[in-house]
Amino acid sequence: MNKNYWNPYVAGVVLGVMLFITFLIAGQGLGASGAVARATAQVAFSIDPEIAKNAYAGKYLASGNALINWTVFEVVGIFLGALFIAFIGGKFKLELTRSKNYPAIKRIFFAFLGGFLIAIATRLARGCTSGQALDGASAFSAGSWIFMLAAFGAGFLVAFLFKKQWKGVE
Amino acid sequence: MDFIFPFFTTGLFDNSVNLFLAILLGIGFGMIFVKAGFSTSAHIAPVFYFKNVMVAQVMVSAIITTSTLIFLGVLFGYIDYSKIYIPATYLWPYFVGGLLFGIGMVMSGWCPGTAVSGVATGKIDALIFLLGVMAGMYFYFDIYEYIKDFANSTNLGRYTIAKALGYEEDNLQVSYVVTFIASFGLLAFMLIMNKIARSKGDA
Amino acid sequence: MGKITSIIGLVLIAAAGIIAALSTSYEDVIKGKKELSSTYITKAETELENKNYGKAEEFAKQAIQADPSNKKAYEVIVAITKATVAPVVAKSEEKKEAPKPKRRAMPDLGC
Repeated sequence: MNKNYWNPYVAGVVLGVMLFITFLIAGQGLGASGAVARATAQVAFSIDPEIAKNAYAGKYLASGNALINWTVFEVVGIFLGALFIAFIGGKFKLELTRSKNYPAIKRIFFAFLGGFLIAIATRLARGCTSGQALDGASAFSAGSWIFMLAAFGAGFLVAFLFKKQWKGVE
Repeated sequence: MDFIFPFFTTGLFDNSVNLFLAILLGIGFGMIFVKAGFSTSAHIAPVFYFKNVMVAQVMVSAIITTSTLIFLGVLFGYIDYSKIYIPATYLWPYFVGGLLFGIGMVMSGWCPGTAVSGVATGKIDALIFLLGVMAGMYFYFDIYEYIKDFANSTNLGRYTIAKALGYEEDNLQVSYVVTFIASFGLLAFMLIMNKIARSKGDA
Repeated sequence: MGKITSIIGLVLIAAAGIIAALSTSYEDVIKGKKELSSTYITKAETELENKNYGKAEEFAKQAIQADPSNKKAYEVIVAITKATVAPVVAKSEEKKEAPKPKRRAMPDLGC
């Protein structure tokens, strides 16, 4: 599993320094879930402008384009940066990651359902592992630990349900 | 050197510069995610079986690094901590959100940030995941009317660790020590469980 | 062997960090905030010199928030007030002066 990846502690320190620089410049850390929420709002708006009246989505659309936002731009950056490394480092690989003989359709179902649950989770928790666990813990927010511990706890608790999906995965 | 950080909130440059820098910073994060091995669910999901500790190692190192630098910055008078953005703590929504998040993460093997880097490296399940997230967001817009009272309940505001323990909100020293110990504790826990899981053999 | 070195390394870092962190105190944080306050004052004074009164006031307020006992911050606010209020006062005095000569120039029309 160590094919050409950085030492995790080194990677963590580098990530930490970058996070710090981000705080210094923008006053906030990296984020992701907010960007997806805004993208959803914007796409929904282009299909049905009535959504601007929605109590939640309306907040994103109030200032015009929901995509003009720090986190959205930063997420675009994440995509570009990953793309760059993938191609120059040969880490691009089209695959549906799962255990060897696990049915693809089940994997697709769980990937989608997991995403669905996480969407609701991030709206309640005002963030995801990037925004709450990393940024929040680094900036000494107590709420972030509540979120992080609950998340890990729940994950450990229900992990046995998905054992077959992940067995021996590389 | 009379610098005060954060730059953006002390008015050193305007929003368009901040947005441009956001892309640059994002590019850096994207590169690190791939290099650290976060762009595949094969490295993320196994964490919940204690088969892989990489996520914990990276997260803890990052938290320790960043919090130390912030702490030092405040001690030396360069960082205005009141300007560092921390989302308000909604006690029960955070707890319930955390539970749902954990379930979703072991089920799908992704979290939003890593999934973006996953799509860029060709992981189809990352793409499906993000579509699921968008569907979930839309669903949330629809049900918000009915759950908004819960979602906005138990708002403790800017709830720092120090404040939670009964100290002054800006007592970074208490916050830092607790963060340091808790982070290392989490890492130690994961390393120990990983050792146990591996000695139990492959499952 | 590599495993044991990493563990020893981690324990040492943890120990060093905890000792260092415990040897600081809330006073150090307060001192840091006073430093921050001074820097805000410097910035406020610069803006004051350049007549950017809005920014100057903003920085002065931040200085007070960081350290409410910083007397210089209040002095800066007073200076800003003087600079912004005084010209307005002077202008209204001018207006009172202007009409008088005219009245004196209309003495005896003999009406």
